[in-house]
Amino acid sequence: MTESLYVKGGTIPSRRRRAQLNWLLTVLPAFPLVLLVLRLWYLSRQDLPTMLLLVQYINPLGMISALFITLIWTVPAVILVLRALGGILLVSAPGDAGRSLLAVTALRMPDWVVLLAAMLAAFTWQLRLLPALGLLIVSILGITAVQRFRAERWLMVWITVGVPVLLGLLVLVFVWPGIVEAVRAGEISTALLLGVPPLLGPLLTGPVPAWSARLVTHWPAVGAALLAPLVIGVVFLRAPVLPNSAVEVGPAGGPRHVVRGQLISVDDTATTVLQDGGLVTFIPNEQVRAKTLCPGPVRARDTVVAVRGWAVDASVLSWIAPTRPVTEVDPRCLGRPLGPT
Amino acid sequence: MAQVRPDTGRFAWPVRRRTPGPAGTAEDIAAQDVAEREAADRQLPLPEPEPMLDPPPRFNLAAFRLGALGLALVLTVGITMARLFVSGPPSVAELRAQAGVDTWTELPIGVKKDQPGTAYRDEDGTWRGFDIDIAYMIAEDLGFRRDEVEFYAIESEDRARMQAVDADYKRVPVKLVIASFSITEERKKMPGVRFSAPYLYTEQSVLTLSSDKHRPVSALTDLKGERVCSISASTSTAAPERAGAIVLPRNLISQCIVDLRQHRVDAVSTDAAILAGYKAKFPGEFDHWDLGLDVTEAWGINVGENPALQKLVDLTLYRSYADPKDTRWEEAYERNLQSEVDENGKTPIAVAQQPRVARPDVRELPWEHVFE
Repeated sequence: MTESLYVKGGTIPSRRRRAQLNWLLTVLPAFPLVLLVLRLWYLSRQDLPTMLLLVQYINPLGMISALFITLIWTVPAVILVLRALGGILLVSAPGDAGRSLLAVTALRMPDWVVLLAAMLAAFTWQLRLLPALGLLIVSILGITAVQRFRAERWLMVWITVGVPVLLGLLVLVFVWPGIVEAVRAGEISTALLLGVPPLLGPLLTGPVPAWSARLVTHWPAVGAALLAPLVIGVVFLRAPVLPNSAVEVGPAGGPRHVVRGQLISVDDTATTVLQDGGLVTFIPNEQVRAKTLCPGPVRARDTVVAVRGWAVDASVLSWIAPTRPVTEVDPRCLGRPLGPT
Repeated sequence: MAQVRPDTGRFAWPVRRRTPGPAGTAEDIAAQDVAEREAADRQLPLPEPEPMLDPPPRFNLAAFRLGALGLALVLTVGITMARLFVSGPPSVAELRAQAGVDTWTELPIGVKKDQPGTAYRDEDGTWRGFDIDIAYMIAEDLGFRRDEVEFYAIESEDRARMQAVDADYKRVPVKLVIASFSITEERKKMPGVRFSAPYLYTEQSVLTLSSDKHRPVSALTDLKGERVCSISASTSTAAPERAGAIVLPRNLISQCIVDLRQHRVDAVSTDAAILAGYKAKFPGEFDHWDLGLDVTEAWGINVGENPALQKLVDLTLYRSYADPKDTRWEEAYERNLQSEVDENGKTPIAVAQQPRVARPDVRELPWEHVFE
């Protein structure tokens, strides 16, 4: 045994860490794939033949679209939190930071990635998360200045104190009616989400005590990294990947009934429908009288608060993009055929 | 071993001369050796630690760029908020507060009560007509339910004063007057009159009794020398007078109709939308004549001295005009006026299209849909 094995922070541990990083990068692209397969498994109610049928017919592009639309907001969240926490670790314990993958990632992250992530977040995050986005942005701005520059004092004070205080004030002025409304409605979590981040801004733009740096940055990040796949998985498993439809079935001119479920495919002989319980039904095409697209199940909104008319669970993208309000539900979606019964 | 020489402050290696000088004796060499050894062994005091001077901050363009980025961020958010909330036109909520709408528990509206098709109170107390539907449309947008809208009968002369009467003939001030009130320049100058955008275009026409076998009327001059009843304080009294007719003004159109039926007058002349309602209700009794006048009667809503309420009313009219999904005006026209066309034949009733409404100056935040 050579002495170098015992050297702390020497060459071998660093190499080992790099090997671990390589493995992580190998596994990371597999995660969405696992999610997609798990989604199908979930949809087929753990029935392997059903799942194989779904695999046969489901368009991977469709599933990836569903994955993308559902989870787009998590990408900037990961990037910005990594950059902010890693940056704090970098400026608090510069000598020790090399041991943390978090700090290394933050150090190597290109600025344009952070900028793009911030813009993406501004568009895709719900209003109640936008104060937190403001906090992350001012924090990254201040930490970047502390980490890289030794400029004149007034400039550093402006970046680390002036910007966070001013932006926090503006955000507070904007969300104040929402905070009042949330407190009145008893939604304390919404009120905290709106009101606390603007106050924290000036506190997160510089180093924390060196002894606590790893505790308050590295380990929360590790915890979040462990929890994130779970949260992402749960969010995605609830997203629909097949269109909800209702099919009117019956002989021509005869009585009809409605089959509700998710339309898997239509070929030259049959229409394949996955019913709610996971049962696959093949309906001969000559029996199909009509089809209709049903609105997705409307999940009850978990908040009623709006800030100056902007609902806190709506994102900028949602008020820019046109919507089609569902006013009335087709009776066939409720199981009642339009034709003779 | 390197040492710092206290006198110069520079590092120096103690030099040990191996060879004595050329004139040196063994003793000299020994003494020199001892001295050198002593000098080398002497513990030099540690030098004072140099104070760690902070190097002066350097001019760094990148730092300025970062500061400018922060400034841009603050300015963008600040200016956007200032533009949205400080300057610019008032929001709907501000207009409601200015108009006092939020403090009203019900909405009193002055309407005519004796004009079938435009505004008519049935024997059972139900209000029907185009004006009534327009009133409900505006009340709905102001946040009043149908049972919170109170209709009061108003006479033509009281429309500018906004004083209506209730069922017991007690005078009641109303917030809105929607009573076939034509917009004119003279009326706009009257105190207490403030018109909304027009909500209906119509024209003047004439009604005669069928039993009189009145010769066809195609112009006001056909009524020269005849007795013509019209509503007092209305726009329709002037034109027959100019044409040489004897105008007998009445407060209500129903009184004119009574006079006509009792042959106290030969004709009744006022807005076609009003007369068409009588013609449609009693098709065999009256003849309805088009006068060929090119003067358009534009009916407006009097909001009294309440500019904020005027904007709110205009906003409703604009929505109904501009939003293709908002068909409330079209439905009201279809139900009350279009249904009279069969009975009135070729005589025009009103323009079957909502008058163009200018977009009122109301704040619309990017996430709101004020005008839809």
